[in-house]
Amino acid sequence: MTIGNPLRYLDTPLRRVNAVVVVVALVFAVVYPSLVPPPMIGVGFVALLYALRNFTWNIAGGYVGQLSLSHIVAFGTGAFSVAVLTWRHEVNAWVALVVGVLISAVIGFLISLLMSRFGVNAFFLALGTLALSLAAAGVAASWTFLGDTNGISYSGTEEGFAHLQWYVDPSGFYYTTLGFLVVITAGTAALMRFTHFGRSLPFIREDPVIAASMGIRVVRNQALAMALSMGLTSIAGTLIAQYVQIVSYESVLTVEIGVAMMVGSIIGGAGTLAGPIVAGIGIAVLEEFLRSFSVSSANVSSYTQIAYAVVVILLLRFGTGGIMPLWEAGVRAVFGSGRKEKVPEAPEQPVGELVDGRVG
Amino acid sequence: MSTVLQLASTGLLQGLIYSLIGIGLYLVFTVMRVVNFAHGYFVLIGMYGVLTLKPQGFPAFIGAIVLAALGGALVGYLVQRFLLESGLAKGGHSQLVITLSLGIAIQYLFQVLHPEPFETIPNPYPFEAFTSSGVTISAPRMAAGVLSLVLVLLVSFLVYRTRIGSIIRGCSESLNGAIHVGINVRRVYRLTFALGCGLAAIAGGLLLPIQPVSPALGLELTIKAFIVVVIGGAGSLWGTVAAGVLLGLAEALGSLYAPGTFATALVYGLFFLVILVRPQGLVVRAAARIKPRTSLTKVGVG
Amino acid sequence: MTTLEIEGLSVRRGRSEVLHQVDLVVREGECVCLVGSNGAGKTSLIEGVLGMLPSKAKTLSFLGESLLGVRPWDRVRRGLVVVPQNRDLFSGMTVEENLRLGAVAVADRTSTDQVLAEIYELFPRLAERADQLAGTLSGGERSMLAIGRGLMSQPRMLVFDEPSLGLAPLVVTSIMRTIAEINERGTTVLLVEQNVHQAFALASRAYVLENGVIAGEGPTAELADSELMRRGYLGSAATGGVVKA
Repeated sequence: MTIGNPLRYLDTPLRRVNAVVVVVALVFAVVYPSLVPPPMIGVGFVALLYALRNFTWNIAGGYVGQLSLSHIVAFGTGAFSVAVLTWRHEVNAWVALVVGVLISAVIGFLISLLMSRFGVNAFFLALGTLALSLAAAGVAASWTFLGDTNGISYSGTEEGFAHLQWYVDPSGFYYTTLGFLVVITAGTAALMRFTHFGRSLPFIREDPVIAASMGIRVVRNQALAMALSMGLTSIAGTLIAQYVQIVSYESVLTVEIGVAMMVGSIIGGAGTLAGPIVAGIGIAVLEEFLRSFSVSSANVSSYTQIAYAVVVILLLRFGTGGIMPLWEAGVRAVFGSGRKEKVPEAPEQPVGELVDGRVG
Repeated sequence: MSTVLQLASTGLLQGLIYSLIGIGLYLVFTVMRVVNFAHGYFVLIGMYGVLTLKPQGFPAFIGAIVLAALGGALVGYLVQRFLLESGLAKGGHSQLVITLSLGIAIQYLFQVLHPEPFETIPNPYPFEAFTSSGVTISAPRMAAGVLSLVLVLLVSFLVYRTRIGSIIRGCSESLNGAIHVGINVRRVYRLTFALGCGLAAIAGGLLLPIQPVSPALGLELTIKAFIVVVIGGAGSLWGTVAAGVLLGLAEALGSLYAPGTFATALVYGLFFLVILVRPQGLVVRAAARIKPRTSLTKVGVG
Repeated sequence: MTTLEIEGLSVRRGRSEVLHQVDLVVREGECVCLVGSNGAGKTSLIEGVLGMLPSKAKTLSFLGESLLGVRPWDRVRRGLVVVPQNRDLFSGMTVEENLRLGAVAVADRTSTDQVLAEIYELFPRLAERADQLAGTLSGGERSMLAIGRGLMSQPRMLVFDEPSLGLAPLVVTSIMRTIAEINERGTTVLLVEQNVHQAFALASRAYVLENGVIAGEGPTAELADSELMRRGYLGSAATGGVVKA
């Protein structure tokens, strides 16, 4: 593909349909706050935040296949960095955001490196990163520097984009998060398409050994992806902290957050660009929908958690790759694949029964 | 001194419960190579099961535990039959995410059903407490430890001394070998999973009079079960039992020196290090399970 | 009477088909061998017949009954037992435990002890090592144990997958003699081998497998002198039609 003529990219019906959907979705996202009352803008912000959280997890979890729960630590780091630096010591919130990103990236890099160094497999990666996140929660709960069991509350007075804070109208949070989401999505798409590093990630996920034999620096690229992924997750933590104005180990360092990221990405389609975003927004809409049935707010989160779990179990059980693969198959079924060369028909199978004696 | 002795005895008894929870996970893990992230939530099923039955008196309590165990085993059987079985042949990480999600679903189901945290039942045993040389042990704690030990011995008898046990061990030694001698591997898997979950539910019933139940407890117990199995190693059931007792003792004695949450953090931190430096045994086996295809088909077509 | 009848069997391993439209018949009491070079698809054929790999077939029947749709362990229970290439022993269990597990699927357990005694008679070496862990045995002993375990269920047919693989020549000779004895006692044998000379010495008929298809078949005595064998079935250039001897 040439940069000179980007329209050449739209060569199949699927890509054309997707382009239309993306444009419509972006236009809708931009005008949404002017169409709804402020409380619904808050809901929109939460939806975008879920999308951002899922998307950033997906960089390591989906593209590279590192089923990490250490993203909980990244999310918490983002929240605590703004709480400690900005709320307590009046450092600019943007500086705190960058600090959170850097700390999280370093943690991610080190965790991935450690895990590779000791040859830990996917299961132990999940278990180890879970243990790490729980340890972090325990530390936050007993350390006054991180607000121990009381948490840290917001105490500033300034408002505006420069301070990453808006008291009454949440549209500032909304547009900031939208901006981050668009930039990070476009950046990731470019990374996956145009850089050697990005293109190597799916190979590493499929088979690290073969990837290594192809000359891909597996350990380094895994660690870099983890650093990028966790660093960006930290932004979501900072944004939610500024929004709710209170941070404690119970609100930002819970296993549910990590599972939500993992499960959200899988529901949307792990390793797809749009899947985690669609799933994140879908979950927020589902939560709001349940609330409209005057379900108590404690039960709303319970029901959404159950819904999350049930959907992901069904998706995995029936072997579909999530929302995005289903969407792509659907679009192809309606508009055709649009490939110029005809796909050769599968050779006629011999008459006979399928012997299904496989174990499992 | 008597404080230490007191803590050591409670730790030992608590550890025996951990051993019981751990061997359920150990069986599932070594036989089927399934990493059941929902294991602690089956303990929860036992706790809430007994809580819901509200047993009055000792025989009713034992009856309630048996019912809860059967319930846990049934749920386990169905989970293996309908959710995990197909994933075993496909490979990949589906069972990891499925069991993790299942745990979350169970937790929040109980959250909706029992919004009150820290529910418990009064002492169901016909005696009160044991006191000897300055150490006092409450009846439920003593009974839970002793019954756990009895169950651990029963399970080890089942695994190492019976025909069923040799079939279970055969499946864990070599899946292909088990098929070649005509073992219905699928049925063994379902029953093993049910057994593991049933044991977890029993442990939950025994735990209830000592430890008030909250939905969030499931995760903590899952992690503890993994700690016990990972530290115990995949070699033998006794490793798991020993690790359970060790965890109970460490927890009790650790509370002398560190405040609650920090001590937990320390345990998790140490566990992370254990995972890093002790990946042999368990990891090797787990790796074979994560890609079941390789265990079914030999490398090198011939 | 036919013990094993295969018609049009195709087997997939992963995404690729490794065995195409194979026909093969073993009659009761026969000793038939299947030879082919490394990678020809011999093990895939066995795993397809046992149902451990996904496969398609027009006919796949054992003792007159179709095996299509029957689970692998149930095929074993019907008397079709494989002595696998890498032995698949229960390494952490003793020799005796391994042998007893061999009879685990047998409904009538009264004769187990007697069969066990017979196997110890056939392999005195296993009797000496009855309490030793299978994982600590030598290659030859492991091979004996795998055969002994297969015999424990008193199968109607035994399939040996490369019994000579990785063994010293003397041990190979002894294993082959045992296989001949098992066959003489009435068990139908399908011997899958890379070692043509050993296999042909034992079997009455042979099939030659090449790149997943049967390239030739016939009585071993005639096949040994055939064009196919002369040009060397190990040769990679060997193609062409089926040679009927």
